[in-house]
Amino acid sequence: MSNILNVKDLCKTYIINKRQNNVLRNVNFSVEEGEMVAVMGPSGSGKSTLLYTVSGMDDMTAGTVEFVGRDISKLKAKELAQVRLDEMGFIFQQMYMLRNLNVLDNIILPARQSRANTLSKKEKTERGKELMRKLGIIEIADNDINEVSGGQLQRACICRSMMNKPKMIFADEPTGALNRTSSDEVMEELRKINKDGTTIMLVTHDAKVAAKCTRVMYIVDGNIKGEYNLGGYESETELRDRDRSLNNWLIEQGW
Amino acid sequence: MFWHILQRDLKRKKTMNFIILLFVILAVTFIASSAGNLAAVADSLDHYFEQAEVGDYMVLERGENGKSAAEIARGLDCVTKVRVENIVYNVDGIEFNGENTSSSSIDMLSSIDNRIEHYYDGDNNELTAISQGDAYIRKSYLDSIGMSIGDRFSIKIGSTRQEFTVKGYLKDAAVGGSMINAPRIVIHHADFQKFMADEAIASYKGTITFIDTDDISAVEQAMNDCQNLLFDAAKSRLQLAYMMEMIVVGLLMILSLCLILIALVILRFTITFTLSEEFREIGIMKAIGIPNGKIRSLYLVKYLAISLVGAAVGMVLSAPFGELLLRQASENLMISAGNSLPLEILCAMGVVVVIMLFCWRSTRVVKTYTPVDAIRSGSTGERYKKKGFLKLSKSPMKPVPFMSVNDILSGFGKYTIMLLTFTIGMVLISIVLNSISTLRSPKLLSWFGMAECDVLLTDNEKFSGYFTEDGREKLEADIKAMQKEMKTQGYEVKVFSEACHKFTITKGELSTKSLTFEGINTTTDMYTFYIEGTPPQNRREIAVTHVIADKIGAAVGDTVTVTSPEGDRSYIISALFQTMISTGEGIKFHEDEHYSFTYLNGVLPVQIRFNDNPSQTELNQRIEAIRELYPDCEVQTAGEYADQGTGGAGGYLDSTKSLIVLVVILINILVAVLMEKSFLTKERGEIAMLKAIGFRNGSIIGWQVLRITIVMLLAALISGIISTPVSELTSGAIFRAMGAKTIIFDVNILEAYLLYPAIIIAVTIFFVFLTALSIRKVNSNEINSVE
Repeated sequence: MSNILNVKDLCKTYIINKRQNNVLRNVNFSVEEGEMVAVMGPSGSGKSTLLYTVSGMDDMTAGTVEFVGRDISKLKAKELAQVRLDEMGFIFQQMYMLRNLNVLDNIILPARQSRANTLSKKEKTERGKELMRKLGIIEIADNDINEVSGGQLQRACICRSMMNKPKMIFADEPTGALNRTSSDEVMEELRKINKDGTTIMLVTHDAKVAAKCTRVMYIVDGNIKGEYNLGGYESETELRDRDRSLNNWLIEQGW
Repeated sequence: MFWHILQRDLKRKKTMNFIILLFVILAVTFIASSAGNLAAVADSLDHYFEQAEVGDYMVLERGENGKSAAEIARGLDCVTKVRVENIVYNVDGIEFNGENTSSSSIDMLSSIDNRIEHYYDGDNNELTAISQGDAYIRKSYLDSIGMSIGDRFSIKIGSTRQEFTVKGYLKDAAVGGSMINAPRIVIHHADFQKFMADEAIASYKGTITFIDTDDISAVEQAMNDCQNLLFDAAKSRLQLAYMMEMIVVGLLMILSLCLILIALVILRFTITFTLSEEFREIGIMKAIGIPNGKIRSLYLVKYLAISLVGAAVGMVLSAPFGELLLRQASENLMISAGNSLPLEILCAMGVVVVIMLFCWRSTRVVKTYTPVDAIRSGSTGERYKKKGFLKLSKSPMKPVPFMSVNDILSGFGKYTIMLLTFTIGMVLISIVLNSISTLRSPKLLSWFGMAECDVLLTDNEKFSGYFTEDGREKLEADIKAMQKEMKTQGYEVKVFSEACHKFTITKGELSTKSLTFEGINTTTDMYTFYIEGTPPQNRREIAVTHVIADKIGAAVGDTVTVTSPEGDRSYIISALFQTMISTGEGIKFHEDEHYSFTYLNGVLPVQIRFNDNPSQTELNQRIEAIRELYPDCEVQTAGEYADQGTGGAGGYLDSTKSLIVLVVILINILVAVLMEKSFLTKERGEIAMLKAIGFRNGSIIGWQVLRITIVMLLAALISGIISTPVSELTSGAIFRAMGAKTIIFDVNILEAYLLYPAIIIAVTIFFVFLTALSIRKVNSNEINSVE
């Protein structure tokens, strides 16, 4: 499998009140196509900053980020927007959607905006519905976003992230605002998407969520302190074992 | 704790608090300046006439035949005071830059020492002394002849020529209205005496008489015996000459009322809008046990602080803003805002009270917010009514236009302030534009008791030769000669004119004096001013204006008597017509009915109508040819004559137009930019999300700008639909006051419905675009930190 994401010597520095704050310090890692990578670490360690920087949502201070062979640090804002629209998908902790659009319209919005997506308007709507059907939320297609539960809304956000068949999905604490049941449902959907071939990189505080990923990176003070390869799993029993071994590893890392 | 929360709020929500502050400043500036202006202009004319001590009745005389108006007045019991001022009529106009500039008007020369009323200069200071060689003249008159302060000009009356320098603007209440075509030139007494000493000017000497009385109609009746009378009018009629100034004042009042309305709507919106954004804080405060009253007082104190600062700044700004609005209206009129500080303070305090009342009402929602609101971002999980109006999945539109249209339809209330502001502004400009194009329309000639024509020629010197027994023959011969000359030039034309007398018309016990119109080489069916009945068919039939008909209680079919020095003649009224000459009073005779020119009151310009309906270019060429043929005449197009007839009202309004357009654009920009800023603050999260999912900055800016563009286009559409009826209701009322009963506005569609709306939209949208550029600073990674 080839690498979809190559990160070399990535640095990110914020200057707040003339004080330099090095959030990411010479971070190096790669993500292979089809992987599902979780980034964990204590609060303020730089997890979200890492996710936003490697996905081109935030600029970097130094280093290179190669996404599908292109150095995104060299892309202009317009080109970056294009990459995010057509090749990346995003899921956030806050299930942000446009207030004046219903759930289905919010889902198909990136597809309608994309020029690279050659489907017709009708086909795009059908794809939106199909994704909703897959994620079990088709019944809320015509609902306003304030009429649905958090779990349903997060699954709608997953549908939206999938609309343009992205090469990679970036998720920032996708289950952070959900209860356990909803969290499990959402993670199950992400796992299915990953199984279908979409690479996923997610940030989480939850070891149970991370246990469902194929690899876990542990970040401390802007540096990747360690990595833990979990590989795939098939059954619930396997998942419990992974959970346990991941927790042990996390404790070793200082979790 | 309370102060700490407040302090943090003011610091953390800097942008939104700043927007509220700006809106408060805007509201106080508008309300305080508008209230000041409304107070200043409401009774400005009465106040001006009172201060200038203009008499209850004014008589202009020329010549010394029989009893003077003063002598007649002194014989009346109802007269309390008579004041007489000697003047000299300057029929030859004034010479400026080697050219005679005003052959179609007659100036009046007055000595500053002979004044019987108070004069004022351009700065509203009383004028009590003028140096030798200096002159003070009405501003609108100077503008119409292209002169300004400092220019030198000469006047030649009889054999005396004197040079003068325009020292300043004259505000002269009695004859200073822009519709009086006999402006006064006030000079030093010694300069005046030089003219008076010239024996050759005997026929140019005259008087202005002010009569103070408690029975205007008795004086009016008595003046029928005054043989030298040129013009007489009660004070109320003199004030009608300020109609054009009053149009501007009226527009100013409409503008002021609109500004107050806009300011109040803005305040209401701002308060409810900002409070609806506070659900999270309110929910959290409730969750930790702070009582409703305490939470409400927190917001009340915050708004009180902001409104006090805003009121103070707005009050300071209101004075120059009010001055700017008032400047145009006070050109010929003495309007002074005076000491408006107490009023401004009162308005500012009023705004603070209104804000606090709005705030008190709006904060009632604090009771309804629950801690769940804070936890679930304003959603309690209940089902609300649908927000989305359209469906992207079923729309052929691209996302950006779709989002713009859908936002407007889904939350129309948010856009009503802009819609209201833009519509009011555009309607206001349309009223001015429609009035200007109507005042400059050739069709307006019919409102002056004249038949429609293409060109008008005025030669006062020649016209003064018609005031004789054989005057009619001379005028008819001149018209015939002109018609022949035109034919020689290859033009098929009809040349005609109007002779005017001033006779008394009676029906039963009621009588009144009125200007009469006798067409020379016309037929009564050439006129389009009839509003009822049929044009006079024979010399025993006449048409009268509806104003005259009302005065003497007559209607079509009634018999009336016209009294002239030739005796009484009876006529049947066959039609009613309308005119704006002489404030709507007029009598139209059949072409076969003749009165001696010995008693002539005046001759209207010689009119030329081309039979072949030439194009505008061809017409301009012909006018040039006529100018060369008749160098002593003032040659005007019908539109120019109509404009002059209304005291250059078109031009006067034209200059007001610039001010109104400027104010409207400024208000539009302010409201649009502030609304856009508040949208950007509220939609920061959505913008960050759109950026995160790959929307380009250009698309997001397009979404923001397009929404306001759509609202502006909607406003242009609404104003296009309502502007004509609103014009008829507003400035139409003023035309009606001048004697026109039915008004059909001459609307320049291109200018009123396309050009000006396009300019306003383009300028406003440009500023909205500049404001929307700030979305570039919104980072897509802010999505999780946006509330």
